[in-house]
Amino acid sequence: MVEKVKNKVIIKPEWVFNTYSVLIVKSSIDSKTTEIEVDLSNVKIVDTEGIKFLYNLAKEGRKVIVKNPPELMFRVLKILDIEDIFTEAINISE
Amino acid sequence: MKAKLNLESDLFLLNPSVRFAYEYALNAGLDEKSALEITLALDELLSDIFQFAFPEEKGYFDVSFNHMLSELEIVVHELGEPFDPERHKFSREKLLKEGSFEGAGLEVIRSMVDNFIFLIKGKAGKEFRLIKNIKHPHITEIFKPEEIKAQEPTGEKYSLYPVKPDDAEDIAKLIYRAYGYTYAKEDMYYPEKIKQALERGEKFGVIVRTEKGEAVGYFAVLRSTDSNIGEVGEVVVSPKHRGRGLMTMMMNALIKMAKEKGLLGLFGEAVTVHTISQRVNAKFGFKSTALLLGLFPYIEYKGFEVKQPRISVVIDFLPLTDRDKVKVYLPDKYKNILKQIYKNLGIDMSIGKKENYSLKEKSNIKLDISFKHQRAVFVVKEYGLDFIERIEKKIKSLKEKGIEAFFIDLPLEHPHTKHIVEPLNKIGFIFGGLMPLFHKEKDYLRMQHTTLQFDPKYVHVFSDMAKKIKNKVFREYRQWLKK
Repeated sequence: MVEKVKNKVIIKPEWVFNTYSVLIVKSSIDSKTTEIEVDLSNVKIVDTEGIKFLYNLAKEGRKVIVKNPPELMFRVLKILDIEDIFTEAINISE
Repeated sequence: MKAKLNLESDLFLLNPSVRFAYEYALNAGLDEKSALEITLALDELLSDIFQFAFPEEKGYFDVSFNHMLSELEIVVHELGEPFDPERHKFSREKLLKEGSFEGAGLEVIRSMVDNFIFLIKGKAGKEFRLIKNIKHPHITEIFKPEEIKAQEPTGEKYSLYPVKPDDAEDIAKLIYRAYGYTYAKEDMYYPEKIKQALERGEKFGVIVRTEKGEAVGYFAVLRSTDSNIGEVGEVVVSPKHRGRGLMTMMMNALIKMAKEKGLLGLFGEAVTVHTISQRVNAKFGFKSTALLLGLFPYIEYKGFEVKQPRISVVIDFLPLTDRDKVKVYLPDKYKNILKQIYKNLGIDMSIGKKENYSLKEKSNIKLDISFKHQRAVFVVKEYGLDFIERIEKKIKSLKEKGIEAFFIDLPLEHPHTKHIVEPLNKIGFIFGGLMPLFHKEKDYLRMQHTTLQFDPKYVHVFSDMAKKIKNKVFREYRQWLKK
């Protein structure tokens, strides 16, 4: 699920990216980490803890790239009315 | 099919639980999008419980899954730290200023389900209910109008058959032909729901066909889920074939089938907008046992004045077997009427005298909520010292969620039922009637609570027993209104 390449952390969660996923990947990220790439190709659900985690990493000044997010993640952002805030802070690639 | 998970408050169990919920939702008939939505809602709820409900030590909590034809319900019950979701509101501004996501999970939960209920149960903890409607195609989405249209009757003979799952489409067509869009049981317009209910054995019945094979009559018994009785709950005769004895033919066949299947009794919920159904029930030996005010939401009845905020019903019951003498504890103020109901049913009863029992601290009360019908039914499994406090709190929470009619079933075999009626009167419950064999093959006293205005002039009852029950109900109802 987590791979480290120099100062970059690559995360590829399975099915869900939530509180438990955050707990698992958190320990791989340290002060030297400058870039985090999250590949959500296999994920169907991203919950608010997952979104909060990514947003906070970006706010700390790290580069955060989210690949292939599921449709449900955009709906969560819309419900919270934070699509613009989130997409400004994070690079999203389909 | 019900399921219950008892979980230790460890995040390790989050993903297995939500994966289970997703698979359960798909099996219950939700499409993938809806299954993911309720799973996300549960994920958000469980995340909060795993992280915050038990900060000091490990705790355990329950997640129950249940699905009916039209909805899936997930109930989470926990005894963790007090929490009020209303006080945690997500705000975009707060996120921008303070980086706070507080309340985001709850916002998402509310959007992902059709109903989200939070109940504070005092010492018994907190309960969260997530409800998602199950969608099926409507009969008019499956067939063109000309395919649903009835054939002209030609004086042919009728044949009666036990209903099979393959008859589902014909039944939905028949309902549509007979009632247009006005049939109260909405599930009957969805062939897939009818099919599933028949496949699962939730109902059985008969269908009448003409010589050409056209379905012109249908009558079914819906089996109760917690007692060996059934409701004569779905009936339709094609308008062009009425007055030809189909109803009698079907009812006789149904009673015979119910006996063969070993059911102990049949009951009908006959509306009081008119007395047609009550008369039919009486003709077949059903006896009135209760009058329930506002059991169903308001619906128009063609040709009748409803003039009531909700639809009230008479419970008519037909015992299918002889019962041994039953021993019951009757509250003094309802003793006479209950004795008369028992006598009218032909059930021999004796009044219990011994009262050596003690109450546990906590009550065990089953709560069935129907949002579609905006009503809640409490079924007492065990009385506890917290009984009245629990009921009061639940009613308060449920009223805030739009529930309008409340019913409570009290076991007549328990001596405490004698003493709980007065305290229930004080919080607004009045007499409803007898619910014979309604739960676990035992008799229950039903009481009811509503704050809506009912006028006895528009509550029409047929049998002499129903008239006596109506007098009792409205006498108490008027007394309660005065208070």
